[in-house]
Amino acid sequence: MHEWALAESVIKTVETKPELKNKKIKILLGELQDIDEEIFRFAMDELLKQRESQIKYSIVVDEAVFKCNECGREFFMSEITKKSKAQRENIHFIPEMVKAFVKCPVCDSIDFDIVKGRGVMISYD
Amino acid sequence: MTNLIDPRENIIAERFKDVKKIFLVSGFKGGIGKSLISSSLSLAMNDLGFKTGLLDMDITSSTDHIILGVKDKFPEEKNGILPVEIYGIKFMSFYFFTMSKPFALRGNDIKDAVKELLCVTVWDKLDCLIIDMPPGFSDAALELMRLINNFKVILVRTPSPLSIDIVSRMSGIYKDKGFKTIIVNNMSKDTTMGNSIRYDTSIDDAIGNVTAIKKTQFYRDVLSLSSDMIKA
Repeated sequence: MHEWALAESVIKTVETKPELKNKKIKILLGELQDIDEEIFRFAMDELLKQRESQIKYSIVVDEAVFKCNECGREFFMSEITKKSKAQRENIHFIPEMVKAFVKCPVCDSIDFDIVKGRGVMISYD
Repeated sequence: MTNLIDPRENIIAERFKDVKKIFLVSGFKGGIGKSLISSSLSLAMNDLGFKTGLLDMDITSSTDHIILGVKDKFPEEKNGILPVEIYGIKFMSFYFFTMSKPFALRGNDIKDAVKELLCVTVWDKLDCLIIDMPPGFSDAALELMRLINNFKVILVRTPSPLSIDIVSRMSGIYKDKGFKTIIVNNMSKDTTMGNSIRYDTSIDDAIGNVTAIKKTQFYRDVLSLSSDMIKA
């Protein structure tokens, strides 16, 4: 599963960044990438067990926000026309593929930014 | 204050730890034969007995799949994404995810897409990986230079003074960073020059058919360069 690769990247980061030592981290799962939270959590727990690691984490789904570079309108996942299973899967692998399948709901432009909620990020205080 | 860290960068070195040699195929200009050379070089390395991977890094204009005649294949998901196996080569391309739709990306999107593919692709053990670079020297090249630091650069040039000029000017960026560069003279009419691939019009007719590619003079010239390259 692709979720395992991303979970592995989170654990590797926490293990190597001194600023994350003994911190409780929040893992943001970008709504756009549509990570399966259950699989991701299972992968995290299994990998932590294998490494005998004590990392404390919580998971939050980060809402995706887009902004059109032509008309300036911000838009959300709920405004995007429902995509096929294959298209959703390709966005899941590489979130930038949203640019191949989605246009601004107002002006139909293909030129928009992913403002937030793209993929996996680690948040900490 | 809340801080954010992108975790993907920390796994990339791990993804390449069992790849013995990495060759970036660049040349900065479009239409000079980078993709044909990258694809043929992968086939040639594989023919020479080296376990080879090919990564098409041209995100919006990938074509290596057309050259190799890749159809009806999709990378498998297994603790990441496994490259497709074709003619003994492990092959990965953004083409698999675009469904042949045209699309445009800005700089940050290119950086993110490159990082994502490098983070999730599981190459496992390879003797060599060929990376087919897009034209120019911008986000994809800079991101690769930052994230992978053990590659050699194959600089493709044609007899055109424009191509010769741009290679001689831009190669300095790689050299200054300590990357070894190898110049390959494509579409060459002077066979006495080193690392030359002769101009061969039959290669266009062979695109999409690996058996036909391997019968061309172009492929024979690439094959003869390959054994020197792997030793470089």
